[in-house]
Amino acid sequence: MSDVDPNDMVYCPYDKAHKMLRKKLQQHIIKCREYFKDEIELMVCPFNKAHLIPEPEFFQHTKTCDDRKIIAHYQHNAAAELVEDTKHEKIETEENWDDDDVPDYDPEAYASNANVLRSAKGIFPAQRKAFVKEERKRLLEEQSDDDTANDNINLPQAMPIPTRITTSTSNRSAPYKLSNRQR
Amino acid sequence: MGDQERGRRRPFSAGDSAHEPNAKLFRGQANSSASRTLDPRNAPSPKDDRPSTSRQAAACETNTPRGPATGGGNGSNRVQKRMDRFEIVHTRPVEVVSKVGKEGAPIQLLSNYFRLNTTPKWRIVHYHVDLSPEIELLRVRCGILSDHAAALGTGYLFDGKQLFTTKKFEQDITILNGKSKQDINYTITIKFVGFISTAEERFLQVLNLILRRSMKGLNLEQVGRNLFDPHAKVSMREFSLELWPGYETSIRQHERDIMLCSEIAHKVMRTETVYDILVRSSQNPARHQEEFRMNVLGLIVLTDYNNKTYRINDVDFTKSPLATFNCKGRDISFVEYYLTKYNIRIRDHKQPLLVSKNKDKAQNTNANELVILIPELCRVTGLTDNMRSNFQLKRAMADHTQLNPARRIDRLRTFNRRLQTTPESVRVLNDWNMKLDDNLVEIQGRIIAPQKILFLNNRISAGDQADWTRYFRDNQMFTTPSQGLDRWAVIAPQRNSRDLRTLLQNLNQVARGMGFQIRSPRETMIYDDRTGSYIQALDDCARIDPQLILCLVPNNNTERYSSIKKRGCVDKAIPTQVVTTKATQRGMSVATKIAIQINCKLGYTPWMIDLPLSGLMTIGFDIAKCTRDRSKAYGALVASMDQQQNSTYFSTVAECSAYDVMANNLWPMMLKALRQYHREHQKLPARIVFYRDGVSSGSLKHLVEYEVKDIVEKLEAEYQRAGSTTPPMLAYIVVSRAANTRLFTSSKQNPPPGTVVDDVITMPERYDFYLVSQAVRHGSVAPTSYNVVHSKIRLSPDQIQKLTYKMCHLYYNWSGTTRVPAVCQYAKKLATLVGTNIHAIPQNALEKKFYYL
Repeated sequence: MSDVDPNDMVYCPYDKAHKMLRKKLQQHIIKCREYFKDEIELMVCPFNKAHLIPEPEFFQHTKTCDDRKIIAHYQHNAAAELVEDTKHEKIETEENWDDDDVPDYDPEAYASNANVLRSAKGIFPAQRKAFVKEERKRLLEEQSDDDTANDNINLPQAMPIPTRITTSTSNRSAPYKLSNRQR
Repeated sequence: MGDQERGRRRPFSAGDSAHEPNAKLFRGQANSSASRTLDPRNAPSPKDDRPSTSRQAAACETNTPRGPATGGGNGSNRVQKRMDRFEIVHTRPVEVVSKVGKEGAPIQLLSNYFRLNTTPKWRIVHYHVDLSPEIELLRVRCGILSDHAAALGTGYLFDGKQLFTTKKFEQDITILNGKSKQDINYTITIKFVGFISTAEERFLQVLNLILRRSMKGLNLEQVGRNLFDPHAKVSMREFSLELWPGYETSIRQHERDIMLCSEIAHKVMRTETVYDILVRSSQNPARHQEEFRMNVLGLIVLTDYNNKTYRINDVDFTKSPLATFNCKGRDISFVEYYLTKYNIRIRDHKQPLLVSKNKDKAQNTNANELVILIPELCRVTGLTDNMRSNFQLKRAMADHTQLNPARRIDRLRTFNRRLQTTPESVRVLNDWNMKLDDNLVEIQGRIIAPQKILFLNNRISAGDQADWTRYFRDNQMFTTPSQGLDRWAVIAPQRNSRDLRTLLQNLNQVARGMGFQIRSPRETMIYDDRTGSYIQALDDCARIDPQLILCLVPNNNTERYSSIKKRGCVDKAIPTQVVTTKATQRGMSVATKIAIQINCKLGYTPWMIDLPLSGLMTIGFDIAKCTRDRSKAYGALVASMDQQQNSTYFSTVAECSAYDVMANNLWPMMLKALRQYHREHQKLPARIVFYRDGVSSGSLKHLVEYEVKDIVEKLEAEYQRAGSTTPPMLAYIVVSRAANTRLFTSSKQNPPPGTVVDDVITMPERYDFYLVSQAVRHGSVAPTSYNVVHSKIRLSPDQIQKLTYKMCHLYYNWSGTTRVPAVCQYAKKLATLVGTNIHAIPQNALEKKFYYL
């Protein structure tokens, strides 16, 4: 609702040329952290994750950080007394799940093998392109390799019926991961 | 990092039946070291006996870095290979994991989704269209292009910039000539962007565009993002409001099919114009301009003539509609302009003009274009606070907006029928070979059995409607202070002493029945009901170090309430209970509620549930904006202790920035909760379930990257520091109440509390389920959507669903189930209290008490 105020603009801690709205910073940091991970190392403030500080200034920052009060308040303020009479006898239960050890469901493993459209949000454009290509292969068994190679084919053409399960791997559990990036 | 763990899965057991007749099976092979090294891209297996192994290895190997250019592995005769899949002998047993639960009574449900029976089977070609000379007007742009409709292929889609069609032009850049109605010649440059295959996400966007296009055939008006039907409007003249019924639609990939979700929405349109505000605020001539400015600045207005919205940035009192401006090379007054262009006659020629900075344009062209608006023609949108608190208005609106299931189903079917019979819409759908199913989608849901509510000496079933209010009459509360409430104070105005008498009498009576001893309090009578008097009395009472201070107030004045709370929570660390005199006249039922609340505020437990897990910590987190300072917000975290032994909660609040969607200081707060747990139980929790509220589905991915991974890492470190060999079993569940999904029983009723749906309408890329935990009496119930974004909890989907449902029984302000798990509800309550009333961090000494209830 509020109007855009120039004061609401912030700079990326990795690259001062990156200027953005305050609310975009968190998203942006995820990207830049990956992008600059070999070049710039910043320390994360223990009180606020958005504070990324170069090492020389880090110690000073931890002393002056605004959010230090979260811990300071905790330390300097008497904690609640422990009351014994809130405790009760162990509840007798109909079931006991304590020792259950069931494998957890992994939606990604399912989706990568099912006949479904998968989204390619939150990854670098080059990865997205590769992902889309992979997906076409997976779902449509499309042999065409490049969009450009396809130019001469007459369209519209009927697509083959989508089939389930084809080869696919993805590195989507780690968005913004650059693999063969040249720097 | 979820994938590294998978190697450690337990071996195949008979329980994981591989032949479960369940659609949601996948065969993920446990990683053997052999399959780990076998990367399908580096070693594409040409023979038919290997592909499945490599494929499954591939499915598991999600963390292998890979170059974007490396193509996928095996050849084309995959259909053949698929058949072979089932005959392959696996080196390691296959595990079958599904997110579909099995427990509970089956129930046949309907939901507000329609299947898409057929979708376009063609590749869609995506073009970018440029016009020269440039013209902004969308209608003109579309008009110019429409002359070439035949060349563009049937049923092309054009949104002003992007063109989607099935036809591929020979060249990458096609240049056409067009003419607008004003006889201006345009050059149309159509640039080829790419193909959109049916296998990618953009395809869904195109489907949504097609649907939008066909909905235009129903003569709907777009307001904001959704389409509304101005012809079916309901006018509520006594409140100068109109309700426009409309539809919220979206086509998405669901568990197996692509489906259309359609929800009946209502737009509240105020018939009041800015001119009406002007007339109202001119009563005091001296302050007239200032007052009008104050009322109007920042308002969003809608102009009927072009159906656009603007935000008012300034008022120009020096000008009037008779002022002229330059339009197409000649000066024209506003009065004349509106008359010729829209045939609107402006009545008051002396009204000031409104100025609006058009934000969209400013971003596009970098020109801060100012838009001049006429007050008379600007309709105000949104509800004022005054209207929000108007009970009658709310009731009248609820009559129209709260549709019971039967009416809602009816409306949805009508929508479907209209869409499939209106020629205009049918044509668009047919052009794209899109066919919508006539019927609402049917789902098999399950009802989790009613839970047991534990009182001190009794356990009773919560019942089908999940309401146990009546059991308080003859059951004692689960835990109460052993000494009772023996040191407490009440503050009341002198003239309300009769009300105080009744209240204390009722309280005493009900509390005795609930096994809660309430001694007589120290009474302080004040002579007026000013805030200052209350605070003074409060300070006075604080000297006896009371367990609780009860304030009887004549009405719910926010300022007084805030001051009392602030004094109690921030300055004194004494829980306070504010009771209005009106509540005291409501007799026993309210007294029961107050007695339960007082018990909670002392840190004790009114009831418990049958919890089958020990060493479990459930955490709820929510953020609320600060009402005083818009740049601030407060995040509250509420964590349960081991509820099998000590069912109490720990709460902490931290100030955070209102701009951040994700929490920056979640970890310090969580650490406090963990330390507290350790202090009480001398060990860290074995399992942690984190219920996170207040994130939109758009930022889910960021949430995982920014919040969840960090928490997982730090938890691991913290557990190591504490000497634990294994990190806790953690589930991070995003709770969202804003889903457009509705569920109905086949007899057009609301589904009963405990209904779970975890198939068909869920998303394939998520571990999610819908749960109806609350009983609803009016309108149709909106199920809460739970999305397990991180799961290392080692519990089955059944257990997670059941646990979540159990957790909805523990909100002590309400003797029934809540829409979200109790910890979430508490966190929300606490964050809101701090954000709207306290505006400061409460004392630590209160952290184990429900002082915020």
